[in-house]
Amino acid sequence: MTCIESELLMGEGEMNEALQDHLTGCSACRILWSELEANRHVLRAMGLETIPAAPIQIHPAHHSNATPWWKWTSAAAALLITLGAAWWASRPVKPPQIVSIDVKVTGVAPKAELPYVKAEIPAMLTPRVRVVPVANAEPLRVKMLTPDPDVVIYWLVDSKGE
Amino acid sequence: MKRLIWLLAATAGLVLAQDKQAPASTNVEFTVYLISGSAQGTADEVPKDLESTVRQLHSVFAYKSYKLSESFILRGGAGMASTEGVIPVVGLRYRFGYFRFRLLGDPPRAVQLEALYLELTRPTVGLKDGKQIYETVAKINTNLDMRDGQKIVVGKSSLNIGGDALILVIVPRVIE
Amino acid sequence: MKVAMEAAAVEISLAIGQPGSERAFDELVVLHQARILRTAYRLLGRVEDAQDAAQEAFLRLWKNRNRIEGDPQAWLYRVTVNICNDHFRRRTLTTEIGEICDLAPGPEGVLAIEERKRLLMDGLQTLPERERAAVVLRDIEGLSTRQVAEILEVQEVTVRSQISVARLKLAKYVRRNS
Repeated sequence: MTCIESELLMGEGEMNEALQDHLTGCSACRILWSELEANRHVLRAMGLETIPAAPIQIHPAHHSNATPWWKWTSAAAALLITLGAAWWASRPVKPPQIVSIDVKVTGVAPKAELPYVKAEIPAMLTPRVRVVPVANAEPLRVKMLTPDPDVVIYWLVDSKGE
Repeated sequence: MKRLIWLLAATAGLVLAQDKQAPASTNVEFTVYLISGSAQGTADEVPKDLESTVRQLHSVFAYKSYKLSESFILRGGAGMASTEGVIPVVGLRYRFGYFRFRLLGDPPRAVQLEALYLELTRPTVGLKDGKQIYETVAKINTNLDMRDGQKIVVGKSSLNIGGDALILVIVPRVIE
Repeated sequence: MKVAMEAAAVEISLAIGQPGSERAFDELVVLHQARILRTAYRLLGRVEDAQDAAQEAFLRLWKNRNRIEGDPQAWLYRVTVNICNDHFRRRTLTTEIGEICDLAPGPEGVLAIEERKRLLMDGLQTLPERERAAVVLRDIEGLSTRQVAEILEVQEVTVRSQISVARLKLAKYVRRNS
């Protein structure tokens, strides 16, 4: 197999015996294969990221077939303002640092003493910096050390606040 | 005399060279538990190994119960590794993997895991020919620092509309 | 849980063409917005442009809601790709990639993941439209070759070839610029 033939196979991402034999003897193709695999993995990881979303604003008139002219005008103005605000809010700014708050949990409180809170990160653990959504930013991570040195907790909050 | 000195020097060189030999390649075995935290329920359903971990979770969060959905082991060298499967009963597909890891320091070693990801998907509306499109239900994508044998908990809320949490417990074991 | 979710998804796609389907449309936006936005971002390379493109895609979906047949997700992907290609053609390529020459591999000689991601994003912008769309849908969004072929309205074998060529170009681009 020639390097050109093996390149075509490697591009398809399929490893077979003939390609394997070629890679055994060709270091240039081996390097290309490892590059392709590294790219494949990173591309797939990019597919798991969240991009900051502007609210989807459809023309308010979509709820009625007969639309008075004055509604068109005010709706257009509202749409422009909304898109402008969304654009303003999403301007690229300095990427946020990953905030790591080491909270020492000093003991396992008996259940009776625990006040009921909603099932989300307790407010006291919310970082005191403004989280700015930026494309490609990792989710916000809160790192918690516990009395058990073998247990460390990371809690993730992505840019949608989920 | 000169010959003796040369022989001693050569022997010393050989001994030093042995000490500097590259260590045998190191693998890390990750035991992974997928757990859901729920605002409903009263009792935890987790194995004994995770009881102390879940106790810590109860002390920090207000989820009422934790339940093990799936567990598996992923063993790999320093490069990319991944695995996938189906979570029983709920039928969600999962893909778990990482880009690479680095080992630092003396035992117990520190493990720096780069681009760890977990993706849960479910089948949704099908195409005309009966094939399914899968959509993502939840995902975790982050870097982690851990120690050999530690239990690292990675979680996020909003697994579904009910507000359940998706929690990973990862236990690395360095195999030298 | 699994059965209930599948039933809800089917209900949305059937309701989309019927009168009073605003709620179904809203649910469709919630279901697909993140994915469409991410696809647009990978095709265009800029968050603001991607948000505009996603807005346009859902606007077209609303306008055509009574004419769409089959899976609205595939239709959305197709429209997004077309909008992004139009947008890309109108736009002048910027010199954002000028910083790449400052990148260097990490101490082990292996390209760090963030650097590789940035190079791949820049490399995507240099690909022809079809190849870029194919690799974004297949390798980033994780769709199958068959799904990509349906969205791009070409044969599967064409998609396979486009993806293969695109991957090789990206690998060479990353190597050249790192």
